[in-house]
Amino acid sequence: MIEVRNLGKTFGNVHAVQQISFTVAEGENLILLGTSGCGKTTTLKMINRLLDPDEGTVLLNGTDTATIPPARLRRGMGYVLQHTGLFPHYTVAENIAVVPRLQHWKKEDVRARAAALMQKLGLTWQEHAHMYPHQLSGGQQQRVGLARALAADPPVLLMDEPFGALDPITRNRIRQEFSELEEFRKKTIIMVTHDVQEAFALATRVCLMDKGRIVQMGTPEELQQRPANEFVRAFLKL
Amino acid sequence: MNEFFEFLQSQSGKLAQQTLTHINLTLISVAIAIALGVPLGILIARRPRLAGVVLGFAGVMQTIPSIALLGFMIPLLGIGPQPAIVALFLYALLPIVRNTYTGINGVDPTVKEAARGMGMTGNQVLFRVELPLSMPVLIAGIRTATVINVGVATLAAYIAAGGLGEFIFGGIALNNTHMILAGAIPAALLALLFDFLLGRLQKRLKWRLGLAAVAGIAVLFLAMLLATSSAGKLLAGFTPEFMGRMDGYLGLKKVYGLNMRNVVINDAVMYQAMHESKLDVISGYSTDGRIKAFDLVTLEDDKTIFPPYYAAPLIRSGILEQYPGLESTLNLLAGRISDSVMTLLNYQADFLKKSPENVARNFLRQQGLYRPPRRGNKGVVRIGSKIFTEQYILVEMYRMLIEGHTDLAVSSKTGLGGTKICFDALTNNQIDFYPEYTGTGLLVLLQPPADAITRLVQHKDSVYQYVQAQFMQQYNLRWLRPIGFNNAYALMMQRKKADELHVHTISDLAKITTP
Ligand SMILES: Nc1ncnc2c1ncn2[C@@H]1O[C@H](COP(=O)(O)OP(=O)(O)OP(=O)(O)O)[C@@H](O)[C@H]1O
Ligand SMILES: [Mg+2]
Repeated sequence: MIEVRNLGKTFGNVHAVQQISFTVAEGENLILLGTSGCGKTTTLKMINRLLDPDEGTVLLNGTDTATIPPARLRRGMGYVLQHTGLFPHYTVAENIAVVPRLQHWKKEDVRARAAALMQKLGLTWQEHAHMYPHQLSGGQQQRVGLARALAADPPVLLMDEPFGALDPITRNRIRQEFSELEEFRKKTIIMVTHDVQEAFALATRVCLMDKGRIVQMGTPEELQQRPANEFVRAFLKL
Repeated sequence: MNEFFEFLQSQSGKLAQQTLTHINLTLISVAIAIALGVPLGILIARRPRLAGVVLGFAGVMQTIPSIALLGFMIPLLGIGPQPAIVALFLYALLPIVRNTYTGINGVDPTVKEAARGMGMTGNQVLFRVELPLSMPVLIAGIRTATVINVGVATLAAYIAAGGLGEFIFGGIALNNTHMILAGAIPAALLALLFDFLLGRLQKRLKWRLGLAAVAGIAVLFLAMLLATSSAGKLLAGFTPEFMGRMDGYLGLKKVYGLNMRNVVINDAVMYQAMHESKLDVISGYSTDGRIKAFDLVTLEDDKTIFPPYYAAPLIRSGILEQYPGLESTLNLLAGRISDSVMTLLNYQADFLKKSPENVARNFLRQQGLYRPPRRGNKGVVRIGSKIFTEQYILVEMYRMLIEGHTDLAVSSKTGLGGTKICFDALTNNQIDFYPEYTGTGLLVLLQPPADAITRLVQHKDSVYQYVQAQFMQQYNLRWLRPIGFNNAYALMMQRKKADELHVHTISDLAKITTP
């Protein structure tokens, strides 16, 4: 469904990403795993064209994404930002409604969808719908961020540390809840994390990166059983 | 206090009209500034390379003194509301452009990225995220611009655009506190009101609604304004002072039956506007150097409504007794300077940029009156003057005469604001004499009943005799012999135009302007 070929991106003289290639089949969960600064976010943003690659191409169902208008491309890809990035002037309900409204959904449908998602993610309409992001806890903000990305039911989901900045216990719980959602199971997901446990819990395949390059890619079992080198072994604490 | 309210009541029609004009000027200019400034601010937020140039330009506009900016507008746009609106617009531009730019730049980049990431187009990011989030900063800019413009719009009265400035400047010129307050208080209230309303708006503004309202206001008022400006007939420009005086426009109406299109305008830009042929008739002073500079003629006051303003030293009796030679020395100038000579001297100082000292020395040399200073130390005579060229020149002449013809020394205090200040300095024994005008002595200082004035102003000598007697009796001050010229109010036209229309007296003018 998504094919990434030889992506490369340079900022000044920092090679943020070099020769990244992978394919993600429909319904698969690919986890980009790696140390801080290894180019995970950069890779993700090149997939929805928030960044233009210096080298390489991204294909969506066989079409080069460079030929798809960015706005249209992105409406078909839910995006969860590393730092939630909620709209501070919108309420929770309005934040969740952003993409459906861009797609001119009917008002009742938007509201129903938002209410349903909120419920699934452990927020209640009465209590939270009319709150503003700054009135929410960090965990609640991340839930709203997830709901916003899921709202228009996009086939693809890009998630950049969706459970980052949470304490381990909350983090585990939200992750657990999330992985049980039907949305999670039927979507094609590319997710960034630097938490090994999280990666293994959610991944169909893991893509382990270091210094802008892919070090090893495979199912969690493959990585665990046949680590490619010392870095992989150390990173996975084997 | 009661008197003030009576004044307001008597002027209520004009007050309402000028307040409305003031609001118009402010709102139109701010609306145009918003209509252009917000897009400009958005543009430079998108293209930071342009930011320096645009903000620099708008910043320079703001540093130009308002009256100068209004002056620059005259050759381009003439006088009246249009140039005033353009000038006000230029003033409002900077706060609006700058705040739009800062506001948009201040939006959290993560939020902008999120907006793009959700699939918003450039315009959607702008209208749904950037503008709403920068709205408080943007509105603060609009508030600043509006409050500045309520203030600057008072200066619109300088170039015949009306507004509350007419009361303020009229009041200052006529030394009428009620009139000043009748302009200043509503202006201050307007500033507060706009600030308050915009503050409210900030909290509940629907962006598109606001934009529509702004555009609506601009178009509506502009249409109203353009509809009212007409052309064709002769147009007079009068100073605020002239408008409010019996020996000014009021008298012209009453005695000559003059009824012509007129606008209120500042003295400093009036001559220029006339020179640019934006005005056909102006009120001025008969010895002004600009008469020569711009080749103007004064219309004869054939029914004598303008009182004579013969200049003469107004002096403390005490100093004359103390230094017996002083009176004859000061009187050396008596009868020596005619209207046209004084106009020429003013012209030399104002337009040929000679110092008043040089002008005075040259004149005294020509008259054979100049003698080098004797550097005497028999005592000191203190001379005062008001702040305009003619007075400076006269003071220099008197200084040279005293220093050359007597053993007295001189200390001069030039630049005593106005009539009242000079006169108070004199009666409080801070100066010994200053050049004063008989008309001013009569109308500003003595202020006799109206019928006495009408009777007196018919003759040059009767005014002089009256002020001489009254000042002696009331203040123990003496008027020495008049210098010769009469710096009275006069109506003026360009020589060419006056000849063309065969207008030489005010009666001629009344005839051709009255239907
Ligand atoms: N806009 C930018 N300008 C300059 N350098 C950048 C920019 N964005 C990223 N970089 C650099 O590119 C490299 C990769 O950054 P990236 O954000 O992709 O890392 P990451 O793997 O997401 O790290 P983290 O886990 O800390 O989020 C880093 O060295 C970073 O400093
Ligand atoms: Mg990152």
